[in-house]
Amino acid sequence: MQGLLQRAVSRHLLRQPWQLGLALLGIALGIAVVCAVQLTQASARQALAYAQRSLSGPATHRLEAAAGDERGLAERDYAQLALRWPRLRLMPALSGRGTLAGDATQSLSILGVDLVAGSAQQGAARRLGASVDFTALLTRPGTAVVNLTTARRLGLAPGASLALLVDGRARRIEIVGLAPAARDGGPADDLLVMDIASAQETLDAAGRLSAVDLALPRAGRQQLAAALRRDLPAGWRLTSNATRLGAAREMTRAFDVNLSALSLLALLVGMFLVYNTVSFLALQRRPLFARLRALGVSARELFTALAVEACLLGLVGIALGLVLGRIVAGALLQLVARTVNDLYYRAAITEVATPPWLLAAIALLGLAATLAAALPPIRNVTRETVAAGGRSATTTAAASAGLPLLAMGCAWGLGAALLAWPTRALWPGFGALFAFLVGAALPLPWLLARLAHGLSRRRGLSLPLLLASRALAVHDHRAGLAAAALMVACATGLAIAVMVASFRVSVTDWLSALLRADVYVDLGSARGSDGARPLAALRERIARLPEVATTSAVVRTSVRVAGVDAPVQLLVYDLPPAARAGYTFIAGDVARLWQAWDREDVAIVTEPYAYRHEVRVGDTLELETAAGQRRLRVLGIYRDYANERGSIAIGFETWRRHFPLRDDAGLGVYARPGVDTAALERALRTALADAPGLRLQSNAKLRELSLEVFDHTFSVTDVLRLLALGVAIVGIVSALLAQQMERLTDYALLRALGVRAEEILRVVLWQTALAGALAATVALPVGIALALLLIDVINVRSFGWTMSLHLPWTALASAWLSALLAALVAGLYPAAVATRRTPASVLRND
Amino acid sequence: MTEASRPASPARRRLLALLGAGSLAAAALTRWRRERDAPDGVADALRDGAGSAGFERVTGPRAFEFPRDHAAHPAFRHEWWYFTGHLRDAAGREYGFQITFFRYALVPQAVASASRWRARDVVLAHFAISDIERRRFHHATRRSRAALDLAGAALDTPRVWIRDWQLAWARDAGGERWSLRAETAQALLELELRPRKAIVYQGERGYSPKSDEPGNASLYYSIPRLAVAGRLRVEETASRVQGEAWLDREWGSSALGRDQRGWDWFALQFEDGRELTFYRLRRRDGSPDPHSRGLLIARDGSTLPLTADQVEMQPERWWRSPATGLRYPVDWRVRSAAAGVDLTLRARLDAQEWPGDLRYWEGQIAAVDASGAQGLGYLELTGYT
Repeated sequence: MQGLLQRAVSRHLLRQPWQLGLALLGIALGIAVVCAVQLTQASARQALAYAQRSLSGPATHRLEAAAGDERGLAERDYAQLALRWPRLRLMPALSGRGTLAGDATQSLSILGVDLVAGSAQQGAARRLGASVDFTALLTRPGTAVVNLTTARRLGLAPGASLALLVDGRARRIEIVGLAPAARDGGPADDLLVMDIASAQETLDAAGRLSAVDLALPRAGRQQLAAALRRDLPAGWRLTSNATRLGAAREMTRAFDVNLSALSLLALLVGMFLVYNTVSFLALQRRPLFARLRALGVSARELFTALAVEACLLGLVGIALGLVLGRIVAGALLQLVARTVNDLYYRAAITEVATPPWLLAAIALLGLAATLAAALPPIRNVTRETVAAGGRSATTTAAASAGLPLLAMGCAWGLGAALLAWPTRALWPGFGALFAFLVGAALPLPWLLARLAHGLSRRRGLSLPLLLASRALAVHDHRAGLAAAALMVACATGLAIAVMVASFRVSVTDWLSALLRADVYVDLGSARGSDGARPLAALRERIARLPEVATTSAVVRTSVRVAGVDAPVQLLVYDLPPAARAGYTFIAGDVARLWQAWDREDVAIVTEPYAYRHEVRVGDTLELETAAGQRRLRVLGIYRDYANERGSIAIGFETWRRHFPLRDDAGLGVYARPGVDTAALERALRTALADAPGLRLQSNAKLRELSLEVFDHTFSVTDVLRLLALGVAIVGIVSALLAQQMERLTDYALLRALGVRAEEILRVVLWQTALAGALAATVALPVGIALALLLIDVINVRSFGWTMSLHLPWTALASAWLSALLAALVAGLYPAAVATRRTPASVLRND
Repeated sequence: MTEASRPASPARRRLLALLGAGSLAAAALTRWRRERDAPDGVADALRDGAGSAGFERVTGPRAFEFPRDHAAHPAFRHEWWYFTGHLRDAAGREYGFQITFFRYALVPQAVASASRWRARDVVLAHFAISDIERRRFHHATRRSRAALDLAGAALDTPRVWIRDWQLAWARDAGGERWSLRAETAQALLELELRPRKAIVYQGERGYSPKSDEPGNASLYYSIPRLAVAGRLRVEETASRVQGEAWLDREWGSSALGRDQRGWDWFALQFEDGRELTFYRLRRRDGSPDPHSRGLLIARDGSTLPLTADQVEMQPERWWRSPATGLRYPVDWRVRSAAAGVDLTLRARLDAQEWPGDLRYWEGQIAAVDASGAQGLGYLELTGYT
């Protein structure tokens, strides 16, 4: 009986292929966006784990340079340590980077490990697999192994040769084998694994190591680590891998949460589509249901049949969505990989991970969302009495404003409560965001009906407008819901656009203030014969050029701060007065600060640092130096968007007092009055022609590059924004199509009464335009409010930096217009259907 | 001397064992690759490496010169110092030990480089203690390139080392003295070894051909008995130990034939002052290889070469390794009319298997002759599946 009923109920669906298709598309798109984002994140996390594993293998700890000395460790110290601790399994490594000679955007990591050391069970060589030509790898300079994924991507086969640029020097790398993919236990993607001898030659780093991994036995690990710490060469540091992995995970957390929130939004819009489709399909079949009920089918049986139908619909849509999501994830990954590489950590992410549990979880979420959206309309239609069922599908507008406004009040109350919750956690922030958004959307159907009702009472309306406003006033909520969905998509898009624009303006202002020098010289890995970087010598040479007024210098390094787990970026500045004006202080007495700068043990910290570690002006930082802990007083907090984890800045002289003197990093060069940047750059290039590995960048170019990185970062959000808008457009098309299909009889009647086809067209388009205009108009204030939440709550909690709201009029105008346009576009097909069919055929069929 | 009667060299067993040539390596590699602890390929590289081109070849007997020949011979591709022996502590507890150092050249000529890691040689070491009473076999390997003073095989004076594992030779008031040291978390061995018998030369005055092909040979000598004294720690037990040891020294550059499946080798030191060593090569098709050779050393140090048809070896008991699933014949019956022996060989501990890069069984055995003569020895079994 149930099977027969199922067929009787569901056969009707096939007669509505458009509706069915749109419903499937809606579910599929919603699921696809969630799936794409989740897979992208899983891939990023996996890449991190692989990178971790491929670098350190079975290691439990790592030895590295204590103060982030970019020259790394001296192999002489390593050899002595290895002799003093002969039974420790030490795995020295040298890492670096190069770019493809033909394509500077293709960057490859280089990792040199000691392939000879270790036994077969544990050696680094084992992960390279058996098909590698180890003889070549161990004996021929410039040989390397890549994993299969990378080989496929770059079109490399064993024996292939790769032209690489390493710090501006040309290097030829010979691929002598392909290792398994990262997921099969091989090395990370985009990684050239070399023997350590080849790596030292390729990276021009003879005598240096980047790190030494070591596996400490489980028994007595703590004591052994402590004993080892006491015996380390000067400037070396021992960290446990558990700590380092934790720090890396922390880095991506904020990024993860942002993407997740966006993907859930898309699912929300997708749910609306399901709701819409199911209610339309249910309403369409009301006469059928009434007949079935009259034949003795119980409400319960009918409910089950419809619920099964919704489930099937959901499952097909979910399957489509997962496939689509996997494809979209591939594209998203490209964008995310760049961001993650630019901003977070060096781990190549090129492969989409598809953990089955994640796919299952997404499928379940999709099914739950489908049922949640489908059950209310199903319940409504099955509860109807037999007699009521046969009548027309329209109902009058909800006269009462009470319910929608109450719902809005509740949602906003919840949002306010979440905001008032004194926490730095991100989820309450996003919760508030959703609550405000949903709260704003809830009364929209009622509002649309009210406004349409008001409009229809105005005198002097054209016939199409009058008919359209009446249709909207006397409605079944679906046009209103479509408008709500459009508003949600549009407001979110606008909020993100405003947030990004505000961010970009702040970053641009910050860059212009900060970048005071005319040309910047990055020393790269240029080194003197003693391994030291020739900063002082170079600086002197540059300062003597007639074109140069003055120079500034910055050393970027890292330092351990008492109470902070991961190393903190330490910026050491030698600033001419002109450069000092580049810092925007949020707190601190600026005059007092510059007076004490370099003379006393003082530091300034960036805004994110102050937020993360709750540092205030006057507090003391305990920095770890080779000579023990040193206390620095914080005299200022300054604006900085360069490092979300926060940085500490100190003066050159302060640094020299406490840290071993080392020269590296960058110089800022200030032109004499009257000398233009191009001339200065030319003079510098000529003067520095004999120093390889140096990079010169003009002020304008550096700013451009910085903003380029910024724009990469937000390209993912752009894509998601467009996807959400796409889902909303499908939703409106589906809603209007449903509505217009029901009205075909009315239109036929009107046509028969002499209303022209183009007037019918206008009736339909007016309806969509009115709904669209309302959605667009409401979306503007809602979007701006959401942008404020993003800027003042989400950004602060994620990154610790503040920025001022910037309202780009173009973004506002384009948001408004795109919502209206989306609505009009969505109306085109239903309008065409409404006018194409002749009144006679419609009326006859009815 | 005819081909058939030429004293042959147990060198081949070592060469094969450690360079992993022939079907042993091939079969084992195929098997291991499917398993979790697959070999890392470096062992293969060391085995096949640069081939023998560019290295000096061994083409005939030559005069040995000591202590120069105790030290490294870098003109040749590979060489080893192979100590096995028997120890007893004050409480009467018995142990077997093995310390082996190998040197492999990666290339005939050092590659010029700014990197000190661009080494020409790799040093490998195997260290094992067979704790007979507690029935435990402790074994460990080390591998390092000869660079940064972390490992090396010296030219001027006999010294080979990987960090604190070391082998050295010196002459002092008591005569010639070898010293050995190796330590792991489980075991420490520090020994002084003084030769009690003269060097014996394997093959033709130390020239040990591997096949009829000229140059496919090695240089090979042994010290069949050394007196040993020193310090041993096994797990928590530390003690003074004394005993006897055997040294094999061999070097060459030859590539190896691939028709053997494996070999069974032993070296015995009888209480009556004689020593006996023999190896039986097993061919891939199961037939005995006529290149099998041995040597009987009398109390006075005179030697009697033994050929394949003069010694019969019969397995008497098999043991299956729980770690690798391989089956080894650990007890034997050995008969030789030429040498005047009818021996029963018994493993003093079944679990003396090396499960690492190259799987083989090498361990302490006890020998009893039909005449009642007794002795201790080491047995090496390779190529079993």
